[in-house]
This record gives sequence, C-alpha cells and structure tokens, in this order.
Amino acid sequence: MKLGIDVGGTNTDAVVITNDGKLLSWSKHLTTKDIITGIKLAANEALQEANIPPEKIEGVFLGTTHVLNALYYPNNLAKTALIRMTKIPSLIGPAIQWPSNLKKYIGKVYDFKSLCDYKGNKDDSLNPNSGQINKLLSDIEKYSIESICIVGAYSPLYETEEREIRKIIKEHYPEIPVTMSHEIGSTGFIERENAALLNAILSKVIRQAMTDLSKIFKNLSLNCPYWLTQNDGSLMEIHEASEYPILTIGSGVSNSIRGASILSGLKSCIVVDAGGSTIDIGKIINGQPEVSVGSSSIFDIQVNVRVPQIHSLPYGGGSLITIENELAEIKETIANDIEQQGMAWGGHTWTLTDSFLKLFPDSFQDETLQQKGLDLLSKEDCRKVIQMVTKNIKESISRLQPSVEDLPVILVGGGSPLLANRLFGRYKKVLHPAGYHICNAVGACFAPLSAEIDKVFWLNGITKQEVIDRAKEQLFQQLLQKGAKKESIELVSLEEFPFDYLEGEVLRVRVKALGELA
Amino acid sequence: MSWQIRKNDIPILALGAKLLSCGGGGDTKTAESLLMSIMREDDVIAVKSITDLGDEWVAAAGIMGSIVLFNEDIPSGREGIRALRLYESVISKNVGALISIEMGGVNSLIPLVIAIQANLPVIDGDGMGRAFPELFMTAFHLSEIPLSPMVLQTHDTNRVIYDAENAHYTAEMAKVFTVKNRGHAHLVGYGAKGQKMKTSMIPGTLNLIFRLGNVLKSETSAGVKMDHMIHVFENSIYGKPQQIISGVVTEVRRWFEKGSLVGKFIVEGRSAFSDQRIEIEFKNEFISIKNGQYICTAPDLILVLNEENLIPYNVSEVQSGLFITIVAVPAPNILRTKDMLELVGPNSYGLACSYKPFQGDSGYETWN
Repeated sequence: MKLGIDVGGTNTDAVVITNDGKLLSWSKHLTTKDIITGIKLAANEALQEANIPPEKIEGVFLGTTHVLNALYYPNNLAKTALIRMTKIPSLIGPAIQWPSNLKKYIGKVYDFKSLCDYKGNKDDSLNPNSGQINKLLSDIEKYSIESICIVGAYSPLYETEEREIRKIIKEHYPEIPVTMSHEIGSTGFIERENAALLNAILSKVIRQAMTDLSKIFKNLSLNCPYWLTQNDGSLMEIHEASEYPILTIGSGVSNSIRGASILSGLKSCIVVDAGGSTIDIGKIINGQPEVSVGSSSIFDIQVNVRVPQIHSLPYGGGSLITIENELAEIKETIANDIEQQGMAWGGHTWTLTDSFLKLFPDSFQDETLQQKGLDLLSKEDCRKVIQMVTKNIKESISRLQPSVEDLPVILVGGGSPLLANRLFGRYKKVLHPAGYHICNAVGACFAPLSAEIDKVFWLNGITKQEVIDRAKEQLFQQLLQKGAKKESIELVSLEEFPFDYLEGEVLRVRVKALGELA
Repeated sequence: MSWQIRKNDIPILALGAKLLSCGGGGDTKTAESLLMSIMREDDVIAVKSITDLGDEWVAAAGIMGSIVLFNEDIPSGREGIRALRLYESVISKNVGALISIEMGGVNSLIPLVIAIQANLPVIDGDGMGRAFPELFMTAFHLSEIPLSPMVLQTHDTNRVIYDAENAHYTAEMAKVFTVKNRGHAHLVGYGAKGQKMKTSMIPGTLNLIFRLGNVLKSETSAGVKMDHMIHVFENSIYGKPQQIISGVVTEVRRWFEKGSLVGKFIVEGRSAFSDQRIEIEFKNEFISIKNGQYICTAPDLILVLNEENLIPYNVSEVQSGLFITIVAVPAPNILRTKDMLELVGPNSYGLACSYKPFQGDSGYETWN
C-alpha cells in the first residue's frame, strides 16, 4: 500500500492507496508554516481512517511546493561559496540577472584555473590551485559558508576537475553540501552556473525538510522508502532530493498533472488546476507530463534544467478583487484563509471565489456559506470577473491544444467546482473527476522511476551507436538498482546534439528511461 | 545624429539583435552578461551615425566559430581589446571607431564590449544588416574593403592574417585557426577610413535594433507591438514587414551538415490563417518561406516570433507545439544588388531557386 502526500500553499493532503490503485482514505489539513506538523496530522489521519497498520505501507510519495516557496519568500537559504574553474578568470560576474534578495546568498567567489585542455587531458605537473583551496577551506568557517557550488568550463565534457575539488573539500568538511554543475545541467556556462547556484543555496532548506520528514515518518512507524517527485514527474529517493533540490521545484505541479490523468483515466489530456493562489494549466501526453525544452527560467533567472511546461495564471480562488475606475481588478494579494475572510463565509474581503459564488451559489456544497455576505457585491462586477478568468483559462488551454484533435480538459484543485460546467459549452469535453480535491496526493502515488543521462562524449575510436548503447545500458542498471520492474523499463527519449568547430568528433547525448516501481 | 548607449540599454539592444538575426547570429546571453558586468551605471558609449564619419580609421569587430563553445568556454572578457591592440600595432595606426561586422545576434554586442574598454565610439551601422553565416558575406567586402589584415584572438593565443588575396581566403584561414583553437575566436578586421566606411556600410542598424528592442520590451499586446514593429521597419532602410502566418509548429527536422544547423518545420495556421500551411527552411538562419511555392527567401528577413509576445526564436529554439507568428521583411536594397545576391542570395544557402524580392505590400507573389 502507498501513502501519498501533497504539501500545497494552502492545504496538506494525504491519501492511502492500494497497490492496484484503490483509494482507501484521504485527509486534508491546513499547511503549517513548518510544513512538518501539517504532514504529520494529515498522514496520521489518513492512516487511521484507512485502518491499516503502518508496516503495511510500502512507500511514501511526496510532492511539495516548499522548495519553490523558499525562493519566492527567501527563507532558510544557504550562504554559498562559488568556485569557478576556467582557463582565465572572466570579467563576467556570477548571478548577473538575479534579484538582489537571492543574490545576497552568494557569499564568496573563487576563480580556480582549469588545468585540462578541452579534451580533458590534464597537466599534472601544475598545481596552481592549492593556495586557493587552502584559502577556501579556511574561509568556510571564517565566513560561515553553508554550501559550495563548483562550476567548471567544459565540465559536461569532462567532470574530473569538479570531482577532484569536491573530494578535497569533503575530506575537510564531510557534512557541507557541495553542488557540482555537471550533475545539474549541460552545456552553456552561465545557465548551468545559475542552476547550480540555485541548487546550492537551496541545500539548507531541503536538508532541513528531509531530516524532519524522516523523523516524522519514523514516529509514525513508517519504515519504508520515501520518495519525492521531481520536475519531470518521476520519483527521486529522499537522499537524492537532498542533493538536487533544484530538480524538485516543480514537484507540486507535476503531481497535479499526473493525478488528473489517473483520476480521469486519460493518458493524454489538458489539466487545469485551480488552486488558492494560482491557476496552473499543463498537459500530459501518453502518461508523461510535458516539460520545457531548451533553457527555461526561474524568477527570470535563465537555467538549463527542465521544468514542467505550464501556463500559470497569477491568481487563484483566494485572490482579492477591487474596483478601480469602475473596472473589477484581480489583485496579487491572497486571502490566507477564504473560509475566514471571504464574504461568502461572512468575512470582509472580496475574493475571486466570492465572485463565482455570487452568481453560482451551488458550486460549493458547504453549509457554512452565507448568501447574505454576498449581497454587498454587484452581480455585474462579479460577472466581469468571471468572464475575464474564464477567458484567460480558455486562451491558455487553446495554446496547449495540439493541432490535430482537441484533447479533453480535466479540472482539478480546490477551486475547480467553480469552473465545472461553465468553462465551455457542451460541445467540448471537460471532465471534473471525483477526487479533484486530493488530485496531487493521488498523482504522487503513481509517479514512475526515471533515470537520465545528458552528457558529452568523445567518439575516440567508438561509434555513435556504441556510445548510445552504453548510455542505455547504464540507465537500465540504474533503474533496476532503484527498484524498477525489469519488464517495465522503457526508453522514452533519445536526443543527439553534434558539435561543430571542434577537432575530433564530439556528441552530446541525452537519453531518458522510465520504469515502474516493483 | 549621434547618441549614447547606457547600461540600461544593453538588454534592449540584445533583444533587438536577436530579432534582426533571423534565427542565427549566435545567442547573445554571454556577451550581454559581460556588458552588464563591466559597465557602470554612469558609463556611456558614444554612437556615431553616418553623418559623423570623417577621417578616423574604422575597424570591424566580432567573434566567429561555434556559439555553443563560446557560451561554454566563457571569455575572459579581454580578448576583444587585446585583438584591437594587436590590430593597431599591425596597421601602425590607432583605431578611431568600431563597427559591427554583423548586426544580428552576438556580434551586435561585441563591438560595445571593446568600445567600453578602449573608450572608443561605435558606429551606427554594420556589414550585413542581419546575420549571415560567413565573414565575407558583407557590404564591406562588396565595396572592396579588404577583410585582412585581420587579427584573431582566443583566451591564450592569437593570429594575424596579412594581405590575403581575398576575403574568401582570409575567412577560410580564420576557420582553420578557430577549429584548431577551442572552436571560437574574437576578430578585428575590415579596416577603412570613415569616409569609405560611410558609403560601404549598411547604415542605421544599431539604432534599428535599439528601436526594435524597445518595441519588444514594451508592456503591451502582441497586436500593438506588431503595429509598432511595422512602423519601426517602415522608418528604416528596410521595407514594410508583412505577417505571413500565425499558427502552431509541427514536424520539426534538424540536423548538422558541414558545420551548419540545417532543417525545416511546418506551421499550421490558426484563427485568421486556419486553412494555411507554411514550410520554413533554415540553415544557420531562417532562409525560406514556402506554401508549396516560394513566398520569401534570404536575404529578405524571415522572423519567427512567439505569437503571444513577439519575442524572437532562433533556429535551435523552434520546437513542435510552439505558437508562432512568421513575419517577412524586405531587406535593404544594398543586400538585393546583383553582386550581393551572389554572396547572400538563395543559391548561397543551397536553395535551388532564383531570388525574387519580397514586396511587402498586402499580398505576395509565389514562385518555384
């Protein structure tokens, strides 16, 4: 049996699901500031309601926006030292486009000299970095450095230099998190450095969360493996997640997309997740949530890691509405708890949800609703708000629709009852599946295992096919090790990127395989 | 009319440079980051326009080689000025102003880096008026400004190519040097007096990318941006742009052929264009628009834009499923002369068709 948990901005949900996919129980709690208390309450309740002993749970599957939120509202981020390894130090500064509230976490920058030629052959007679390394080692304590990020030019072609530096640091400081850029992204120094730096400054918040989680699960006598979903919707073990937090920032969204596919039974569909603070629109094709291609951006910082491909509208059910110059406007601010503050519940703030409830009071089956509070609102204003919201959602949906045939649209999330039956006329296929309110937690339970190689290879006396075959074999072994069913393993993508202007044949290969958890 | 470039202008210029690159020209990210790193808030780069040119010696600057490697093996940031100093010692003259070889992509920005470091003005103009793949595909070459003497500079080595017979040969030698030395190099060459440069260059292009960048950055709808973009081109030496199609990208095919990124994709029209299907071919840049027959080819400009915000895509960014708008812009007349078309016309890209100037009024003719 599986325990699925989703920590959202507003609610923390837990579900217990049998191995053949039957929902045994679910629970919902307000997300707590420490996230941990909410998880504990929700998990405990779901287990009790299912009435099964904890030892029957074979895996815990978690999705969370916690890591992304740590960047949104900078919190518990690590003071990071950056080591750059280049032929000659560059005048290009690190983190050029970063917002200052994140940039300030880059505490120290060191320029090391790369000793390899571009084919990765190293001149061992030189050791010009030893003085620099000693300085770094002494600075770690002096400046309270909490995390280290190593970025070497050409490291996607050869990783030995990044590894050597890491080894030396770990000999002196075995506990300090060290991010190596070749493990985070591929070619493109600036984007890879950005991604690696974000990963490094997130190492504190993720470690804290993972340690706390382990404690809670022990308390609950859950002695099974714990998994976190990553940006592409597949699973990572908790110790992996601690090393690569940047790969988990999209876990909430990818769970919602997969959950909608599971709840509706459709392998390919468009998903509208109406939450409290955002409305996210994404797509899943043949059971795989779509991820961005090429470079993407996180808070306008360009990175070369893949993130879920979604259109995110900057408002949700809890967004506040004001009238300005006789026009209804949706503000960026969010009510903390609409059931306290919303007018439909007797509160004093006008939310997006109130606007829908004014016109469609039956959307929510909630006895605490008071139609009286809504009397203060004008029907006309509310209609304008609804028109704008549905227009924006429809536009986002049409952008994701493939050219040949329209995909069905699945509505999920706490705010989805407001949209059901009024997004489109009857002629379009729109589903509002049961379980829409616990969609993310369900989605987490069905995520596959994945392994990916994105590396640059020199074709020294071997053929391209041999390089690809070796990469594939490596992936299969990795998946078996993680516990995948052998017969379920399949190659899902293979891309080649040749290089020009280099002596000798070079090939960048990106291969990805998926497998089901046995 | 002279004007000045400030630090705040750099992201605007980078975006305009990407638009004019027609999908090629090399990603501007690294050069943009370098400029943002070395410029102080109060730094200014003086821009000389065509009427300001006189006796000063003008040299063209840029980079060549693989942009993938340039963006990985980041420059120290001093290669350009070292190339300039070496060039000056070779010709025994001081350079008085810098000009871009190619106003499209990374090479729109490289002269600005050197200008800041050497405290030199830059010239509002360039050799290509867009991006082209070869060093000799310039209006400078057409006006018999020799590419050599040319200086090549990498992280740790350099090379001077003296008095080569012609630009093709110089470009070939430069390529050999680049392949042997980590795949990319800064260069300074195409030197001439201001008076000569004045009649050889494609004028006003630096100002053009600045105006285009401002349009793209503005917070307004795609429709309004399109009107503004058309207006900017109409008030330049380029012709009136025409929207060819808006729709979704399907069937992208891309491969490498002798060092060039080559391929094609299909655009299936949506809304107003819903019954149309267009094929775009590319080779380093977008080179042709077809609906069975040719609608537009290089050197006329083919722009592939994000339908929502008109931000341009380059050839490696186009992916299946993207919503795009295709715009064709008539090239400046200087690129459409018989001699220039031999360098940059459809045949130079391997297209088996003749060149017909894209008219850019309403409607267009097609040919085989």
